[in-house]
Amino acid sequence: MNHPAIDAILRRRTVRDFRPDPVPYELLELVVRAACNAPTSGNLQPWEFYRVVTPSVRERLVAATFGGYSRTAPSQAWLADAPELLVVCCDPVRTTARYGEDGPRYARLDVAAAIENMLVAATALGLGSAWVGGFREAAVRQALGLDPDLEPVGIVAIGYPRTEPPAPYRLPVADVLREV
Amino acid sequence: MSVGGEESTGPVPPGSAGGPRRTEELMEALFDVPLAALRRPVEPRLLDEALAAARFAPSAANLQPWTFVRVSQPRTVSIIAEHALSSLGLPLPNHRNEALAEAAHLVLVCLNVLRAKCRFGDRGLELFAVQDVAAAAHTVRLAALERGIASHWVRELDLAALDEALGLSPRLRLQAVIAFGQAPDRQLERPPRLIPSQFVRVEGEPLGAAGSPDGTGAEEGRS
Repeated sequence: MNHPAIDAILRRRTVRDFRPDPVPYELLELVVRAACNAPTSGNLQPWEFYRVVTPSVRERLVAATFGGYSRTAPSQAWLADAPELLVVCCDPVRTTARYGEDGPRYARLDVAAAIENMLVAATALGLGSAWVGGFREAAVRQALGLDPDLEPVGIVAIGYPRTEPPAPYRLPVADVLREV
Repeated sequence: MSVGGEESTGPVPPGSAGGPRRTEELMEALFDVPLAALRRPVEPRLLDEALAAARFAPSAANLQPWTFVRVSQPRTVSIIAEHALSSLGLPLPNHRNEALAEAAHLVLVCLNVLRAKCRFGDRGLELFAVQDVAAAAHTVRLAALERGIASHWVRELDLAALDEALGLSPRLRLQAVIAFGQAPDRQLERPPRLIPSQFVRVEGEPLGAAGSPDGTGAEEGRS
């Protein structure tokens, strides 16, 4: 069986330990291009990507994160060493214009699909990645100077993995696939 | 129909009292009031109500690609005034439009770039959204007039330079600046309007055969 897309999906791991080697910009661009090809309600593409290149912004962004379930837990310090950090934002106002009160939900779903495309594309390109959702939204907004329309949905760390994380346990298909 | 003591807020049927005739009166009364006559402020709440009416404007794919910024900082007013141009689009001799600086309220009418582009690409940005934003701005001016607020669509501005000077988000593109103020007490002379026979044409019929309200197509004489 040779299905490169399936292969990349199955090989994807959350990588939190990166080599310091920079990620070629062309690869980063491909990753974002993959994100921009995610399915999207009404083709509204309610996503925007903030690549963090300013050291002081990176510091503030990392400080805005937290590990585990507590918003007051220490920040995810490993992010500071990730070669690339992208904050993926959604524009729920755009989808609200077309779909009314369901708009924000569609926007977040679209952006989640875009993030998944990024992670899979990164894997296919030999890169490692992690999707971080533990952050204080207001602090991220402030660190990036986001427009009021925009909502940060995820921080995506990208780089070359120092080690390949082991495959985590996954529920078998038979446990989750039901027939009705 | 009244429910629970409140008036129904449903659509007004065409031809009913308070419907199209009222709209037409408002349209007739709307024109650019000179900036010098817009110095009296209005309650910001009323102006915000008028701005909210933009949501009733039509837009391609219902994307509503507009953002209105009610200016509140003197520095912003000053920057806008500095970017005024003459009626020929040339820099003013004194590089500043004092009348603009003294208008009671200024509103930046912006186009939301990505919302405009997402479904139609550059055609959405350069054509549909420009039309939509203009329709929204006009809707706002009508709603303002209904609240006793006169306005002036300021066209003599270097919009690109002003956009940059204001440091607007790259997500927004400045399309217009509208000045608002309490409607003047005295009646201002309405600018002349073409009569319908001068601009309404029916294919296959002689020029002037259609469009005038009385159906004669007769032109107004010049006094």
